[in-house]
Amino acid sequence: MAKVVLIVVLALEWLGAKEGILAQKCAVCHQNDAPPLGRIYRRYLMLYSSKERIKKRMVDFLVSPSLQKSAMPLGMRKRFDPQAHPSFSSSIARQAVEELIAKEDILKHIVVDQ
Amino acid sequence: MKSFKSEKKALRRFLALYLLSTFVLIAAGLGIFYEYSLHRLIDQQNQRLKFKTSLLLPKLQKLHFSNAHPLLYPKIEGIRTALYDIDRNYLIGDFKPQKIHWDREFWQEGNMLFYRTQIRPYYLGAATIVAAMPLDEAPIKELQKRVLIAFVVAMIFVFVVARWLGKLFLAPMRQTLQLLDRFIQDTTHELNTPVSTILANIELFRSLHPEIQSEELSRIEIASKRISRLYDDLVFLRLRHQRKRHIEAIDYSRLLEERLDYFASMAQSKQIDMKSFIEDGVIHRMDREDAAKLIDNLLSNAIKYTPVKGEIFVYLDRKSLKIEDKGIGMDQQTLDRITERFFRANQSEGGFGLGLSIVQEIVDFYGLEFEIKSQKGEGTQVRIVWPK
Repeated sequence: MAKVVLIVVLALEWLGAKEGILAQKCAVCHQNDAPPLGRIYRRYLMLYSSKERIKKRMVDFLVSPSLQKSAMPLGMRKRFDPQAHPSFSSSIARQAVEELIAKEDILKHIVVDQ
Repeated sequence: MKSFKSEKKALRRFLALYLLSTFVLIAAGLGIFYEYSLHRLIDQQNQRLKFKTSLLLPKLQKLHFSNAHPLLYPKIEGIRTALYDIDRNYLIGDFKPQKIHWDREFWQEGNMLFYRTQIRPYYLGAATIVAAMPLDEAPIKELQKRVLIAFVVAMIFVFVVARWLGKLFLAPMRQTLQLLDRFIQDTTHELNTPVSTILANIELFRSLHPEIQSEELSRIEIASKRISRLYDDLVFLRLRHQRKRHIEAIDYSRLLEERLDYFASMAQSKQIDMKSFIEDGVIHRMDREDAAKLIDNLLSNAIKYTPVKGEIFVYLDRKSLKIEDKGIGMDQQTLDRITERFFRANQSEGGFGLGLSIVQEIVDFYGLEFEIKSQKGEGTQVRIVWPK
């Protein structure tokens, strides 16, 4: 029995690792109560333009979330208190943001008809 | 109305100067107008490009918030666009410019017009739109055509005005030349009969009284011959276009000897030693009057400008006729003008300044070579080279 439990635990951990930080740390809330990750990314994209600048802003927020560091509109900031957002280590935050950018990059979905 | 050579020359000079200066002025004016119009045309096209680019913005906004799959990059008819992020990284577009002038709003590369604008908010992350469209060359070609037509019309107008003005300004000169021409015509007409009578009577007197050697008679003969030659020169110049030349083989050696005899009395009166070296049987195809006039004018000048007791050498061979005197000579300035009509190298001597002008005309007509070498105070050497 103990072996079965161990195998199940290891399998779950492996699956978690496969899903990535974004799925593990962010998706749970952002798929339910918090604003969707896709909308957040487009908001940052609209305000900061380049991926490097977006990354910097998001990591800043995730390391020490605050009202000032949030880029979301006022209404959203009132509804979802940024200060209640969990904070992450800088490496986890950076990895999560990179995953977000890779996943939500709108330019990948645009077709140019020559 | 007959136009004089000098009048034509003056008119040509005036026309050249007037047309050249007007050409420069009109070309500069039209050049400025063309540049201004070209800039205006390109500016209009730039504004069209700018307007079309502005149509992209709402489409980018719509795309930014769209969740459709796949998303289509918006196309604006007639232009191509490219998007760049705030760090100037290329994002997406229906073309990728080779070079972007980040400091300019509009620029042109070849026949393509480019426009760059910054946008905010950064829909799709785009901070800069670069748009391009081909330059519409039709209005530019139309402008070039109009400028060219305007230039040609202006030049034709200027040419007509210049001719009219030229003739207006040259009218006094024409009148003077006509007066001179009429004077020469009248003078020659009045001179002919008395001079011919004097010479005929001297000849008659000598044949009737060969025993009388009168110095006074010789002087009268020399003076009459001089007047006779002046008459001949004036008639030659006046009638040179009307006279029909009779080209024939002429024994130039014999003709030269005849003319030397004719001038002998004139040379003797100044005690000039005239030495001749004439090769026999030099034949040339010429009009007899032209041939004689060529010799007469050269000999007459040599005698006129050789001082008393001077020397003149006359050479004739199959290559050339050369007359050399030890007279007063000329400086380079005088030499340059010596064949001009009415130009007289020395005002103290008689004549109308026609001699060498006539020689030049004859030389030109027969395609001969005419060389004059002179040294002031040492003498003059004139050489007519026959064609090979």
